[in-house]
Amino acid sequence: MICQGTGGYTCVMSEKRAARIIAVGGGKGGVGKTLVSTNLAVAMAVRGQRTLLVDADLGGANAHTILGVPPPLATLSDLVERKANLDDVAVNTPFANLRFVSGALDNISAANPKHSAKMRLLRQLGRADGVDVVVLDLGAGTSFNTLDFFLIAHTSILVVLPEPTSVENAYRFLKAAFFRRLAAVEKAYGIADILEAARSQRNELGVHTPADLLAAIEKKNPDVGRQVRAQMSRFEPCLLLNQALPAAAGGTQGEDDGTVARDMASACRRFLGVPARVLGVLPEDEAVRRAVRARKPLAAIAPDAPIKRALDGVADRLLAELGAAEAAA
Amino acid sequence: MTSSPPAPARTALPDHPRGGAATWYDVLDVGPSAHVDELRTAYERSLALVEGRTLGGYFLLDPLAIDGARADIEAAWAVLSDVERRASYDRAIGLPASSLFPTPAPLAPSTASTTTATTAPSTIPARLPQSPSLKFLAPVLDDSTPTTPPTTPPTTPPTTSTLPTTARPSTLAMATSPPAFEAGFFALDGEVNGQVLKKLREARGLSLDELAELTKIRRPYLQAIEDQDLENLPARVYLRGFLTQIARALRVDRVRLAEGYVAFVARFGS
Ligand SMILES: Nc1ncnc2c1ncn2[C@@H]1O[C@H](COP(=O)(O)OP(=O)(O)O)[C@@H](O)[C@H]1O
Ligand SMILES: [Mg+2]
Repeated sequence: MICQGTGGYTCVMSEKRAARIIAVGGGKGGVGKTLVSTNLAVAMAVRGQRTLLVDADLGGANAHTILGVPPPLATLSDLVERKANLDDVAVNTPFANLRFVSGALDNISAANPKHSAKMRLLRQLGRADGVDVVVLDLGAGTSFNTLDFFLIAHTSILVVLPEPTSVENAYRFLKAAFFRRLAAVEKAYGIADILEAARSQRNELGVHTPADLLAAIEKKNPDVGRQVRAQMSRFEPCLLLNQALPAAAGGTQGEDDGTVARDMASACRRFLGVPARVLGVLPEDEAVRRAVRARKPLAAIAPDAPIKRALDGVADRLLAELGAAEAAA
Repeated sequence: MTSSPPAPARTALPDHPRGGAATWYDVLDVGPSAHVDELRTAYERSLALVEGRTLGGYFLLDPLAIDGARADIEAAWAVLSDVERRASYDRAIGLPASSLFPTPAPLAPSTASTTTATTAPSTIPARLPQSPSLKFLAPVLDDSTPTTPPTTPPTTPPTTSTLPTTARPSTLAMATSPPAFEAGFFALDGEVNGQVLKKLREARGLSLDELAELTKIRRPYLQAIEDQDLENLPARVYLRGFLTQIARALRVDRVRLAEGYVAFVARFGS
């Protein structure tokens, strides 16, 4: 079976049924990636999906704390280096259907495992026995590791706060992802010369944004341009706005904070050549702090909190989409 | 409908977006059936976004990219907010003729006008056709647009509540779409302040309410612009767009009016 991530990377699955991979990134620390990935994984498990939460935040792995489990002894590194198999590194959690893999990749010699090693890792996770959904908690920054995991996933969630720093980092992250993806497409299609021509004439061609670059490639060679565009548009990140305040409570510029996410999705479509969409808006909620302090997921501490209900909504939407995608496959 | 004269002399609009967007609709991120009110909102939001004045646009584009994006947005608005330009653009890109914007003459009820009619005073149909200055300003109307049916009622009853609202768009369209008139009438050489705008408006025989109807800008904003009432001016991101609309309605150079007034406010405000 062939499966195609939103990043368009192709991986060959030997099992009849491949797990869906959901990556949660954000380009910036402290925006709520771990909150989202952990609680989303719990919500998926509660919905009967056999779920694997993978802490892929290489530098700042802490999903175990949010989840309330001891940090596993075996880590992703052991998996990448083939010192262990998945069942050794995936520990059980107090939640039915939910297993957890610790991310520590820091003992991998080069900071970046080879692309092929990452692909193998994802393949391994994706075809593990009894796994329906893999949730990846990514680190901050735009390292190739983070970008590749984000691009490989079927669903790539970008967590953003309604704050200038977070918006800035989110755009930086998406641009980096775009060019990382374009490099892969460039290689696969052997179109380095066309890209180079478009790049070197960027001023004459008026290329200022990734979207302009796609248009310039298409102008140079319509056939190739269309294919590149089709490939690039397979990367459809979902924006998830966190810590939103309603307009009345000091939302952005007198508007609901949700407009930030809508504006960003629109900007991505128009200027970054990335067909982003808004996955949801999560409210600022004091229940988060209570849950973090108790080192338990929201479901265990504040099952009726607004943030928990909002995350449930996100889980339902994602499951509906994944279900639809599967039915179509 | 936003009535902007085709103004062939200054028409230097590109055929298609220069940036990555495929169509003018994509530039504004609206659907092809977008209503003019929706277009205006999208236009204003788009400018605010690319100029980084809304949070969602923060550090989205670098300065060069901002200039390019702004040019596309302005052009998209210029084309799509103009009924005739939009209709011919729609044909050019193969869109089916929109029932919202029948061409060549908008005889059918125009939702664009009726939804914003709250800002339109009951005096518009009564006064506009009778305005001698408008007749003067539209001298070539009859021979240049022979296909336009005579939509202006010869005698307009003073009680306008009985007038169908559908009469408004065509009336206004006739009054303000003479293609031959150009900006030279007012050179706009000196400072562009509220007084100048007021004089211009009056020279066109327009009341504030009529200008509000033409530009679809709410009257209090127009009032604040003429009064140089800094407190109540529209937010800076919208101001330029509003001024552009006013310039179109008054048929003077858009850039000069908009930039002139913005510069004036900048001086005046500090
Ligand atoms: N919706 C929210 N409401 C209140 N606090 C939040 C919310 N989201 C995140 N936080 C706070 O932000 C902190 C950082 O979240 P975390 O998920 O660890 O971010 P990341 O993984 O992106 O670094 C949390 O400990 C929590 O205190
Ligand atoms: Mg984290």
